[in-house]
Amino acid sequence: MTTLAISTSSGQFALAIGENSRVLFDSSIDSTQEKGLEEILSDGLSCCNREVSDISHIIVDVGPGGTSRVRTGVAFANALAYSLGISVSPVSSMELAGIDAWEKYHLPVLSTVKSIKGSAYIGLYQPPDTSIQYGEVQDLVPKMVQNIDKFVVVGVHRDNILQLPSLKDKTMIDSTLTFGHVSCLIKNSNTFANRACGFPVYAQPVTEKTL
Amino acid sequence: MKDVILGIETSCDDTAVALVTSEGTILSSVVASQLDVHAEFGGIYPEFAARAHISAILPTVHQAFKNAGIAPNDIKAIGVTRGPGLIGSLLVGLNTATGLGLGWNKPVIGINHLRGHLRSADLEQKRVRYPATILLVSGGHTLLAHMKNPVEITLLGTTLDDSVGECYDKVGRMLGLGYPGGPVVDRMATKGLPSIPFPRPAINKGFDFSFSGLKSAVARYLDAHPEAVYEDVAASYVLAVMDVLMKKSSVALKQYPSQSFVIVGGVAASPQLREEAAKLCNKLNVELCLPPLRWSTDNAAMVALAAFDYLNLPTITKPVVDLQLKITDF
Repeated sequence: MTTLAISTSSGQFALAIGENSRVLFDSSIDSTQEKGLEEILSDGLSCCNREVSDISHIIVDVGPGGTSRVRTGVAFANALAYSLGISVSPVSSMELAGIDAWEKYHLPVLSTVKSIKGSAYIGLYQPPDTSIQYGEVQDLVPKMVQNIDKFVVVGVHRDNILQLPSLKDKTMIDSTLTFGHVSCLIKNSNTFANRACGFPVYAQPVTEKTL
Repeated sequence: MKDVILGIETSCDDTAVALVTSEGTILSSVVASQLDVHAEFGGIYPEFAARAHISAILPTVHQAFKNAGIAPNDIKAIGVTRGPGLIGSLLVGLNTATGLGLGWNKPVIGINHLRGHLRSADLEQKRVRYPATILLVSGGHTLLAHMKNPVEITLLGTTLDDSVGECYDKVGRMLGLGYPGGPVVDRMATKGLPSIPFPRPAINKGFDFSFSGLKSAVARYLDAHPEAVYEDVAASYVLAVMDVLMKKSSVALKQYPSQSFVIVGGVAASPQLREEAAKLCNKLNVELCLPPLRWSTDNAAMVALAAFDYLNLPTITKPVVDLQLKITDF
C-alpha cells in the first residue's frame, strides 16, 4: 500500500511517500529548490520506483497555514484522489505539529499559526484529540491550557507564549518547531485511515469559518 | 472518441467545467454559481470565491462527465484557465487540473482566459470568418483586437482604467440596483430618456478605452441632483457607453478590413450593445458574430475550444498562474 502525504501549510511544498507507515521519500529533506507539487511527486515516485497508479491513499495537511499554499495542496490532493478513485485523509496542520512534537516530548502540544489582523489559529494536541480555536494568542492560550501544567509550544508565536505573564506557573518547553514534518503523516498513516473521504466530499482547508 | 477536451474555468466567481469537441460541439457544460456567496458584498470577495471553488470543483467535473456520457479515458487533454483572474481562484482550477491530468495520464494545458473569450463565438457552430475584428467587453476586460485567424491576434486598444463591465456594476450600485448591475442598468435604461450629457471619455483618442471618468461623472451628477430620475440617468449612461464602444469599433473596422465583427464577454449580453452593433455592421457590410448569451460570460466551454488551438503550438503551455497575460499571449 503506497501512501502519498502532502503538506503545504508551512508555505513550502513538502511531500512524502511511504509504505505501511515506513517513509520511502521525504522531499523536505532536500528542499533547497522550489519545485511544484507535480514535479516533486514525479521525483519522489522515481526515487521509490513507483508509478502514480501505485498510490492507494493520500493524506493531506489542510492547514491552517499559508492560505494559497494550503489550497494548492488540498486541490491537488483531492483531484489526484478523484482521478485515481482512491480516498484522501485530511489532517490539520495543528494535529501534524502535535504528532511531531509528541513523538519527542510525550506532552500536550500547543501550536499556533498566524492569521490576519493580529489573530491566530491556536491548536492543542492531546492524543488522540486536537482542538483548534481562532482568536488572539494572549486571550485564548491561557484558557486553552488552564488545566495543563506542562506542555510543548510549536509555531511562530513561541517566544510570545513563553513570556506570557499569565502562564508563569506553567512549565513550557520550546519545541523550536514552526510546523510539523510531512514524514509524520506517513509514520502515522494508520491513525488517519478512519477519516478517509472520497467523492463527493473531499478534504477542505481549515478556515476560521470551519472551526 | 478522442477529439474532446475537458475545459476548467475558475478565474473569477463561477466554477465551470465543460467537455467540448474540436468542432465546438458542447457535450456538457456545468457551472456552479457563486452568486449567493457574493451578493451581500456587492462584488466578488476573492477569498470566499477561492473557498467556494474548492468545494464545488470535483462534483462539477463529475457532473460534466455524467452529462456528456463519456469517461475520462475518452478525452484528449485538459485545458484550464491560467490567467488573468483572481489568484486564489485560479490556483484551485490549475491544481485540480494538474491532479486530474496525473491520475488520468492526460496532458494539461494552461489557457489564457482572454483567448477563451475570443473563441466563444465559435461555440456550437462556426460563426467567425477571418480576418475579424473583436470587441471583448466584460467585468474584467475591455479591448479591441484584430484577428487574422483564430491564433494570430493584434491588440488595437484596451482599457486604461475600469473595464466597461466594472463601470456598469458601479453605476448599478449608485442607482441602488444591486449586483451584478449590468443587466438591470440596461433594463432601467429602456424606461428613461438619454437627456443627461455624460462625457464620452477618450472617444476620439485611438483605440484605448477609459471608463472611470464616466463612472465619476454619474456619481457627481447623482450627488448634485438628489431629485434625478434614475431611469434617465441609466439611459444617458448607457448611451454614453454605446457611443464610445461603437465609435472605436467603427474606426477599427474601417482601418482593419474584416469579414466579421465579433463581440464577446459578459457585456455582449447587453440588448443595447447588440442593437447598436447590428446597425454598425449593416452600415459597414460586415457580418456581426455574437455568441449565444450563455457563452458570453465566463464559461469552460470557451476554454476547452481554445485549448484545441494550443495543441498545434510547438510546446504545451504549462498550467501555471500568470496574472499578467495579454490578449496576444498564449
